[in-house]
Amino acid sequence: MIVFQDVCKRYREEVWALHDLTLTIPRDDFVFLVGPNGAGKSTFLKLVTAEERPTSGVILVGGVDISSTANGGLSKYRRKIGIVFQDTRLLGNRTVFDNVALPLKIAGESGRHIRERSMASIKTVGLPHLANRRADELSGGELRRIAIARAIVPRPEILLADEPTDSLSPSAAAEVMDLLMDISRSGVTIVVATHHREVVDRLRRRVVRLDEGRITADRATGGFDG
Amino acid sequence: MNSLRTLRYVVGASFAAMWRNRFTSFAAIMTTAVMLIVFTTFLAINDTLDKMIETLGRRTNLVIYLLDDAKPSDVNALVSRASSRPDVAQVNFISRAEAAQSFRETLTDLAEVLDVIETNPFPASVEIRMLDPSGVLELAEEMRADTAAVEQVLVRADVVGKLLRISRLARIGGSVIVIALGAVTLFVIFNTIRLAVYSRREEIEIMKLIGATDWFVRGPFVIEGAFIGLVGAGLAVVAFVVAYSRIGPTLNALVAFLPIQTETGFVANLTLFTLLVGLVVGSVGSFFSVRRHLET
Repeated sequence: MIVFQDVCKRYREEVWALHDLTLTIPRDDFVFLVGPNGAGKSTFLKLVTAEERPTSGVILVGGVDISSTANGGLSKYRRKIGIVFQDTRLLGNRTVFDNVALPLKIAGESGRHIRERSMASIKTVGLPHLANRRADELSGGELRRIAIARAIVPRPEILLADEPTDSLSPSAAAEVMDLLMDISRSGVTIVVATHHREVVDRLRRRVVRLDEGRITADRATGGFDG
Repeated sequence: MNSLRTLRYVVGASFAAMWRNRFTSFAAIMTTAVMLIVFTTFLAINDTLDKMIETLGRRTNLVIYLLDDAKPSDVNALVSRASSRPDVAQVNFISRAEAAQSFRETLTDLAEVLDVIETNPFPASVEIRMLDPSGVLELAEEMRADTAAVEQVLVRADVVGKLLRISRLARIGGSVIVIALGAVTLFVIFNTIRLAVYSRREEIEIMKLIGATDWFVRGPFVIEGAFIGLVGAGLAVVAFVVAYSRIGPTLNALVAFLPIQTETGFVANLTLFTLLVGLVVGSVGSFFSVRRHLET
């Protein structure tokens, strides 16, 4: 469960990314965060990963107050979260397998586990034939899928995806979202930040709308416009 | 078990990264090598200067040749008078027999001359080394006045004094250059490693965001830095030893008063010191270069 309580985030004097945000995302939920550019969607995700710290307020993830967790304690916490970055952030000069295996190597898993689970993850996203290709040789859609494979390989409790369908064709976007839906069914809490109307309207899941750092709508099974 | 796997990964990752970024690694190794060659050469030059100053400082400034019939009590009085001066470092009495023996040992080819003439032609003498050569002329005058024991006074102070002053300046200058060069070497190596780390800052950020500990991220960089520093220092040492072993003896033969050290101990110490500098600067440089990117 993710709980935001009166969370404010200010980047510079007078630049407020989030204003008194209070929101609860239960375990296993699938939530779309929608809103225009600069609404605070990415800031929300960065606060969950503790890449950014709140200016005020409390953030509880799985009952742990991460707003006050020291930097040294974040590594274990982050291993429970899978992240699909907007720009994928795959290591271009490594193979697909190496990219996907990285979280397991960080966790100190055995070689056999790393091989089996990484390959299983790559199969889940439907690209086992690309395992030995360098990441910088992949198309945009393939990169997104591999980014998802890396995010799910440590079997996270929470999966955060920042604009996972950005710059993808409609069919590739639909495939990526279907993949996230499948992962959600396995009991993973998923938060997707997007401004793609078609994606949100097609899946009809919970939609939280942000505007200028405030929640302007929160509907259990809404479309992009509520 | 996990720690062992992590350690294996960290070591493997450091060598894999060096191979992936082999051009950057090569540039860093060559920069380290060049800087350490210059640094090591200056250390050797500074050491030669030190030795030269030491040798000059050991030289006698004043030699007093004694009359053959000087009474032992007059000679003792002269020695005591010279020894009691605060600007005198050392007073040595050389008997006639010791002077002859020294002649035999130093100029072996001419030793037979002494056997031919049968008598000992050398006078007894008193050799004086000054702490401060500036008072040597005054002392020489004082000794010349002692007609009961002194036959002749030989002063070497002028030349020695000037050489000492030049050497002192050279020693200070040498130390300043070595320190400055050491600082520049550290700066260049550190920045080369920092650039290598900077080019991989995104990788560091990604690893941190997917749960890597600071040591997991830092480990490969520190090993890489240590390796680059050590290999760079190794190349510097090889270049230095080859050049030194050829140039050192030649210079020694050409300029006899230059005490260039060619013995194995000196070269071994310099080699170990250079390797240590490379290792420490490489690993510590990487440690601090990564630190600023670990704040994610």
